[in-house]
Amino acid sequence: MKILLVEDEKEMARLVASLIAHSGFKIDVVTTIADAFHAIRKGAYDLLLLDRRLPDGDGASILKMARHLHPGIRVIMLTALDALSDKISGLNAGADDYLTKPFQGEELIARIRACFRRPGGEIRPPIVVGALSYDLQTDDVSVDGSIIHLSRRELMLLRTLVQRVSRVTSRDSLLVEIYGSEDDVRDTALETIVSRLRRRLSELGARVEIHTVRGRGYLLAEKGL
Amino acid sequence: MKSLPLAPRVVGYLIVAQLFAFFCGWTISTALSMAGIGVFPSSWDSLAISRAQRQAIASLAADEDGAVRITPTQELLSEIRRAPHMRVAVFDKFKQALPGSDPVLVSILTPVVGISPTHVHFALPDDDSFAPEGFMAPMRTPFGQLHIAVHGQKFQWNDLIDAWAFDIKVLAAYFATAAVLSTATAWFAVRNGLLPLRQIAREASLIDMDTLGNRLTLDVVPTEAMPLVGAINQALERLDVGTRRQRLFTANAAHELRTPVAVLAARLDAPREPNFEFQLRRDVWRISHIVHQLLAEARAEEQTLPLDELVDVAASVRAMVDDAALLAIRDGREIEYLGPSGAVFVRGNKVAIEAVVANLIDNALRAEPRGGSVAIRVNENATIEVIDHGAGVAEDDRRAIFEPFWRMSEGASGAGLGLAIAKELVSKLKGRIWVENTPGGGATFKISLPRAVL
Repeated sequence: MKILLVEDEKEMARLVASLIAHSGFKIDVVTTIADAFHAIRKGAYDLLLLDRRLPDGDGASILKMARHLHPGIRVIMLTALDALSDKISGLNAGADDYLTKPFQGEELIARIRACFRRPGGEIRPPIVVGALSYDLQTDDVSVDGSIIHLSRRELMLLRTLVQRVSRVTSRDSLLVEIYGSEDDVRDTALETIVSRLRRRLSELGARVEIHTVRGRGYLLAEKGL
Repeated sequence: MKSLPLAPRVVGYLIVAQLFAFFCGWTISTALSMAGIGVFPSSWDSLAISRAQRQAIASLAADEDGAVRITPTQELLSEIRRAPHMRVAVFDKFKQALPGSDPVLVSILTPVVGISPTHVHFALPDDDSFAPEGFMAPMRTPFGQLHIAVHGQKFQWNDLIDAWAFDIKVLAAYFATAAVLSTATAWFAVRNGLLPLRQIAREASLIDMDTLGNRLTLDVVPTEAMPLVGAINQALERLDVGTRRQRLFTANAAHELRTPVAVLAARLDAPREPNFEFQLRRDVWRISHIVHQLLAEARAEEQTLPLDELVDVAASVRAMVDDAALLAIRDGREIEYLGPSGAVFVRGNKVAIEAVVANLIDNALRAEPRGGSVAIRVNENATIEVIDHGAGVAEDDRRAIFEPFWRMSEGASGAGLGLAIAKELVSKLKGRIWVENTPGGGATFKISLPRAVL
């Protein structure tokens, strides 16, 4: 699970790298396109975090070369504030996602996880939120290191929410994840499962909360930050 | 192309024009004379007079005892062969015909010479007297001033040049005077006429970024130069408007950012509050919303932001709500989306719309009391409502909050930030932004955007 960050602002690179490393990913940092080429040739990375504006050109130019060497590689563009339309051109250039600076740390980690969730993603580390840990490979859920057991639907709900930790998961996509494409599921059914899961997590002292965002869905986040 | 100074050019044109005028005038008057319309009737052959006179003078020669006589030169002889009726007579200062003079001319002219005429046109008895082809005048010769008479000379083409040169010689003084005067006049007129341009140049040289409001004085310049000066003034006007707009934008940007930056600084200095980190994060987010909006506005201003994209505002607003959700929750507020789960299409720009909506949501979360809920509604008619339950906006302030540099009264601090720029952006999107009361208290900001016709 290796990430390459291409970012020329030293302070930014240091902070972002530390944030990512803290979330259980291995990360290398380079500051130029030339160094990035070198690093990509040498090491196998699963994800590139590309700054657009680099001292020796547009970070997007790395993308093509990286895809050529490692077809499965994921790419997230980090665009500067003053490059609003870069978002579009970043995606056009073939990036999987983009994030506009300044970004929230939680958001970046969520995007990185989302990126790996897509087909072609490699083995992921367990997602840790508060005292809760969710291993996406095995669907093992633990609180403070001890495995807990959840019902199938609770597990699917938690799995979906935890993959979008700190971000809203829409009710529609939750319904699809949990019930498949059945249309006759009532909203109250989902609310019931959510309430049950909330209670369980609270009882277990998982230090996470599932918030309701009315009109949108649910958001799982670490408690009381 | 190299540009020549105007004055010498005008002088040059004038002199050429005068020569041409003389040539035309001469040709016309000569033609009129020949047609018998002029004051003195004339004929082609009369143009040969001056050549005939020269030939006569050239034929004058003195013999051993100093007596002058006409001894025809080869040239005169061949001329006489060409014009068999040509006659030449020369009278000395005693009015006596020199030997070799034509007897017919002598007999006719002897009485006339007696009165020493300055010149005389004459005809022989057999001539058509309408245009007398005989001519006698006193002329300078190597043997003093003698009366030379010619008759029966015949025109040939180079006589035209002769005749012309002769007339120029006669009119040389007039010519010289005209040339000198017109040169001086042209020089003076051009210099003097363009003098106001120097004043304009002085005025223009004083215009810089601080005095873009100045205009060049239009009524001092000659009419011919008015379009130029007028066009420069119009260019200045456009520059002025553009610069003013840009300065306002910069001032606005600084103003909009000063408050949140001041809050951020104060927060760092104040004793740590329990949710210090979160508060910092929120401050940063607010600044970045404003910067986003400023940049969208700057781009719209320089027209690099396409403003007619097809945008699903419902999807955009849902994304904005999702983005703000964590922040709202951490801040002890709730955020709620009221609107269709499907699409509502407008014509506009996604980035610009999102910047404005994000800013409104940020303002609303700030105004919302702790524990309250901010609602964002998207209607099918492409209006977006951002509803809070805070202090609301007083009736009197509802227009003013969208003006640049507007500050709401103390107590409602924070609300209103970025609204001037939001308004600019929305009007660029051909939409409208305004504020109403939330039933039960609070402010509801509404944006209406042009619906896309699919």
